[in-house]
Amino acid sequence: MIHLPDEHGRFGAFGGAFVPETLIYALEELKQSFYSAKEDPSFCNTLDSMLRHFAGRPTPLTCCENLSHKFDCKIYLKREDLLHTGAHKINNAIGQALLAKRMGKTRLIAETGAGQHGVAVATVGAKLGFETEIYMGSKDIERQRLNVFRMELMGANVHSVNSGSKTLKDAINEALRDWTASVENTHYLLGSVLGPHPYPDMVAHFQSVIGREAREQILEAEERLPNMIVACVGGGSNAIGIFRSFLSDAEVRLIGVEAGGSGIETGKHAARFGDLKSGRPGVLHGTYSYVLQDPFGQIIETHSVAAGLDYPAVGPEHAFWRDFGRIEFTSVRDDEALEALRFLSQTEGILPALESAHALSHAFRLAETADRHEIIVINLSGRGDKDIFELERILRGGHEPLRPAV
Amino acid sequence: MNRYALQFERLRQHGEGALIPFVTLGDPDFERSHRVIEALIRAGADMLELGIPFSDPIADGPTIQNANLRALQHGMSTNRAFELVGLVRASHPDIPLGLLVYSNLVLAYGLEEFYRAARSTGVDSILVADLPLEESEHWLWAAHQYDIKQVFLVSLTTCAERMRRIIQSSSAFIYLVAALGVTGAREAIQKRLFEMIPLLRRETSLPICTGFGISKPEQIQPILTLGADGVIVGSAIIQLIERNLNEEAKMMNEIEQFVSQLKEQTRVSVSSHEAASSSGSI
Repeated sequence: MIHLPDEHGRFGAFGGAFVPETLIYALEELKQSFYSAKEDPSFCNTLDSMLRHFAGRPTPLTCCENLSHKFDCKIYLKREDLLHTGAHKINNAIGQALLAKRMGKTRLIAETGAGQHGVAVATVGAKLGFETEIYMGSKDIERQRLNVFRMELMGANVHSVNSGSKTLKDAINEALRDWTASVENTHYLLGSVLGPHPYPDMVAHFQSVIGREAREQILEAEERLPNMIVACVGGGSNAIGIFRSFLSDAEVRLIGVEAGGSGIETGKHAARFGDLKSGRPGVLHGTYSYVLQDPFGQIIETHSVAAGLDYPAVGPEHAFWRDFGRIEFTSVRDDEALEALRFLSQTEGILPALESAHALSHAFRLAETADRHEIIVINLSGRGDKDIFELERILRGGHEPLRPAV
Repeated sequence: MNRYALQFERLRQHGEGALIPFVTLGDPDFERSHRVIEALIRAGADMLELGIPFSDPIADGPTIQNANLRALQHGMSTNRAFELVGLVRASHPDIPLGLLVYSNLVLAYGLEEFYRAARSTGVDSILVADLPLEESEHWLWAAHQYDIKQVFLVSLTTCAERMRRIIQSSSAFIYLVAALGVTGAREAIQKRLFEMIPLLRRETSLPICTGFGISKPEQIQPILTLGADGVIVGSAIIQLIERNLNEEAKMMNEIEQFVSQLKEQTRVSVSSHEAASSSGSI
């Protein structure tokens, strides 16, 4: 098995740390702290205990009988939606916050797009006694008022970011600027497998608990590995979290699903691998990976109904495994994701997050042609409660009762 | 021709520090940006740092980010930026011109292509804001190949051992980042800056230029007295562009006046320091 990343945070050609000199000190400190903590039994025990007793791990691997019956193959969901705060984001937030404690930091800062990561950080900040500040684009604040209020309830201070496209990427710019100035008492709790080394490796490490559990659970239930694992990919933290435990199992297909937005051909999407013209390797926010950009390297604004997938770059580890041929990528449009969301809700009584609905939609495509002995595992990265108002706006329109989807 | 060495030497002989204004190429648009640059030179700029606009400039504060966005909105691109640099070079054959860029702009253009284009446009140095030493191997090769000076940042949090490695890879000058970024921390910054400049001075004969957070004429002398050879002023000038977007004459006047005031402060005799006398390695 290839050991990744190397000491410079490189996954083959991808990754690294493209940051101003002012951040090097902070990254060095973080690197040393993370790589020693991850081998320290007392740190691992504390982390494990908090995941168990505060976040609600392990999460179930649910066998979906109704879906399995409809498609004539076996479909399982890894239930990250059941975690405290409603998504896998809490795994990483707990890990990094404990690390920040260990480094003696007193303040946490974080970026958030949909607000799920912001909520997770605000929650952990409250639990562990940090001063917590969340950067969020002003456009996202409008779209996700409920999550903003949740963060405020947890005692966090939410900063509205008005620069650039006023979304996630600008929130990251702002958080990086804050960190440059506040390194000494502040930890930047980045939410995905993005950014400069060691973030992509560290976040993947804290999320890899998903795959470790899933592997054990499927072996117990089926006494064999699944044929396919499907996960949605924004930055890619839930996906790498489940994929990492199966990378060496050549017989398991690993499939990442990007946001197809209104369709690749419309240019309104976030499919870094799917758009062959604009999705090219480049540097955004400190890492070298596939980035949606114009011919001169200016970053292109993205679109997705799922705010958590609405980002112009993808984690470098995904870029590496994709070029290597180990992880396959595809994309799902907004309308297809919405349809899958309704289908799962009606069939299994589970309301998925719009992000996770992208993975579901593609998994249903695969299930159509799957053999009855085949097993598909979908990483259900989050629950759809946060999307309720947006869903109502899109699906209901006026005051008509919502008709069942077919 | 080594324009930096010649200029630093000339300044040294006159007992002056270097005033290095920074603006974003194409801010607010191509034509006015050209006139702003001419105003900077008229007002006494000894060298220029010119930024190619990028959509996500993580090393810059909101003022410069907005300058970047204004320029992009007015159709600025890497090619147009080179075009503008070429115009400046054509009328000012001797002034040292430095580019400040983000790595993605260079990678998208093609690393070698970019350095080649910079060379043929008359650029003397390139500073890549998000390129630390660890990632710079190919870039240094390209710089060497096309006779461009590669400038690196040293920050107040850079440790001594790393500082030495950065110095070894640097040419033209060392760019010392004077601020950690926020107000309120100013006293601590002052203290570290006071330690850092003499420390750097002992380690290198390269000129030391200090930037980030220098916005007032009265900040200049204390920095030069500590042993720095120049100051870089960006945001404070760009604010004058931003404030006068609808009044061009006023924009140019205010910029010219402000920059002359800054230049005046670099003329007040700088205490001599032996290290700067050897300019051979620049």
